[in-house]
Amino acid sequence: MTLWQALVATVGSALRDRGLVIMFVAAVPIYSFFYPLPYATQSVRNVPLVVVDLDASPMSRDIVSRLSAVASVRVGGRASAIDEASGALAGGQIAGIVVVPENFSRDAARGTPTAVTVFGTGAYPVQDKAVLGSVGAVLQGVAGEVTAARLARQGTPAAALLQSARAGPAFIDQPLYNLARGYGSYVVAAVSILIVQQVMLMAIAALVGTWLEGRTGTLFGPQAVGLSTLFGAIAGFALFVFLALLYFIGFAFWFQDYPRGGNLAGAVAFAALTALTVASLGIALGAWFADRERAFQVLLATSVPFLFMGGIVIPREAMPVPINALAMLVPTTPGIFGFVKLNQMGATWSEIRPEFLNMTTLLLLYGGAAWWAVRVRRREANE
Amino acid sequence: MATTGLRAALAREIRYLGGQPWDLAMLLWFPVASLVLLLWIFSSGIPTGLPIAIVDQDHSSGSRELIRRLASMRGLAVTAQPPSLEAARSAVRSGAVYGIVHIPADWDRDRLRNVSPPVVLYDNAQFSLVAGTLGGDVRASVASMAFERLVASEARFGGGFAQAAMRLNGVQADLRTLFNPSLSYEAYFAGMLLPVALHLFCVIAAVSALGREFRDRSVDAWLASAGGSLPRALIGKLAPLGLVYLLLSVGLVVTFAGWRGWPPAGSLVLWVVAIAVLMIVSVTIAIMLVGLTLNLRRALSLTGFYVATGLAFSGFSYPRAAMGEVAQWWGGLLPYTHYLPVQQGQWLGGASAGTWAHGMVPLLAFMAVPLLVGLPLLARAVRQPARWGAR
Repeated sequence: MTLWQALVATVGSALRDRGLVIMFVAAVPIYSFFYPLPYATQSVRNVPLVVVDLDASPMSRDIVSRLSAVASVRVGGRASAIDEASGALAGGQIAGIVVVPENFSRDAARGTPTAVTVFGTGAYPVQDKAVLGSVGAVLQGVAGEVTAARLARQGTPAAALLQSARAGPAFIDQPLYNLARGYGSYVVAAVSILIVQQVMLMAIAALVGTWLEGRTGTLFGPQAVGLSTLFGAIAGFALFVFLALLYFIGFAFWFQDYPRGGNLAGAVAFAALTALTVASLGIALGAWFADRERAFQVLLATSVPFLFMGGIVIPREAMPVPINALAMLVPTTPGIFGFVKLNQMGATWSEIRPEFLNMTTLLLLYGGAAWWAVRVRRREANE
Repeated sequence: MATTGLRAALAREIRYLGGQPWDLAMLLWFPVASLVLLLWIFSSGIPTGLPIAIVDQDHSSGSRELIRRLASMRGLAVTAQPPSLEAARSAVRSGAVYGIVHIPADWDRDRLRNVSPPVVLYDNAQFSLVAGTLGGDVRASVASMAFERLVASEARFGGGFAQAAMRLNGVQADLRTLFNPSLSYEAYFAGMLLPVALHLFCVIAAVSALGREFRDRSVDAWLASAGGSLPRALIGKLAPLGLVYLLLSVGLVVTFAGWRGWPPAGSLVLWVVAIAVLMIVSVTIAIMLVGLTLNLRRALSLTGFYVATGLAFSGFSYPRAAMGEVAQWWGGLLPYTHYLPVQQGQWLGGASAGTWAHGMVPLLAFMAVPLLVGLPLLARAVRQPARWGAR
């Protein structure tokens, strides 16, 4: 078969398989709406906490009303003692307890050191951060006002107080790329690439396994199979992977309003390279599994390790060296980094050099593995 | 007769696994290897030495002091001091550093007069956890210098530096994290991911064991081995893998509570019961998925949709309270969403037995409902050979 014939035959075979055509064509769009659902609200909000107000003063009520105005937390109830709320914190029904001590406003006015105590829960670190961060910020505002009032009493000139009140912050934490610090913007940018890889690997390996079972298809039919046939099959499968990647880069990120379009031309070129790599790996796995369903069993279970090995959630610096080395064998590792850099960060081609080299190496590796596996399986079949 | 049928079905399943290295590997070795891999990924606990660049345009003793403090933070590593922000931005885009600390010109001189432009941290927010660590560490470094200056200026009211610091700290927020106070990644991620991975593996194994009888049109041979009784055939088939996963789940608890050194704050027994129930739920869900599809491939696809995505909806990182209504509703339909608070309560929180019992109710429902759906479907399908063999 010529390359073109093999490509057409492969695409046709994928579209005619009634069980797998959904995987090739529809699964990625379905997942693109389904998976981001939890993160659609983008920022942490409504984390429930309970207030124990032992002071019951205008100042303590002011603190509670300021807390109620913070979006990330929700004052979910009051308690008259810590013990009343601690069970709910241990059980995870609430994520924090804010305790305003007795005589808080009197001590604050006198300058006697006093503190609002906040208990968060390390069982849910994201909620813990929301609780401690929001209460900390509210308290900082209150403390600033108390200090200013004291300074005024001590005779600091009004002009000086005004100047320090008007002084800008000493420190600004400015996010790059994901400007709203959206949780979805961070997770979905990475997971979308993983979804494409896993869905497409399952579909390709299942179809190749089906070919092998039935001694048919582009690679396992009676006709001679040369390199041009293999390249045609890789290109045919890569077409589906490429379209799925373009769907995310061009449509899904736009439709769901995630950061996108940093270096579009670069992303399209990298998508072509990634598609060829995933297609080659899919053929190699399919020939190895030699079974229609095996790919589903194996690949379903690998999604979670692949995501965390990729270095976006847990930084590479925090993982053991052998894990980082192993991760480089998975296309999503250079894939997620490369696409996040190109799509979200707007990197130039030279700035994704490590990912380009890693992906190209994998293409050669898995292209070779596919060729070897197909030849071994054909020889076995002919014996 | 009853036990003979059950025993024969059991023997048939074990014989099959013995002759099929792939299936045995999928049942046992692959899950074990994955769990070890996941545990290894998270083993370092807390990220340290995250590379940042510093653009110092002040070149003062103050800015050098700030750089020294930044370099001494455990979470940070100052790996580059490029001359311009533009050069530093390229270092971020290439992935060499996660953030840039910019110290503007005349910062040290102006801050003594309260008019200085701020120190700015530009962090790569596509790396959410990293950005959070950088933000905290850089803020702390800048704040420590600012506070020292405030103390020096407050000291003019008398009482020396110690009293000045006390006056400035008059009103404080005392922030405390209970349960896993160091926010160890290992306890956080491994603790939440390993049970869900085991849950997923167990569903895959049970779906595979059941689904392959339909794929291979061997349903009658399977039923015949159990004397024609579907319940006995099911128990005989699912008992070996159920036992394997019960042991693995207990092994998981022992790994966390014993070897890794996080003894449960609540009850070890209640935790073990909960994870054992999660494994039984996995099996009943597999019965439902195969009953609904009678097709191994489709049942595995549904496993991907229903179980493998469950983590995102469970609230393990992004809180459920923050999700939209549809996502909250779907998350409620997943067993792992209900298991997670039970585990965290018994393991880390030290929740009461009453809280545990309350949390177990939905999990018990997940044992019953899939069976009510799946068993009648299977009972009908095993008598309809025309519906076997779908792929």
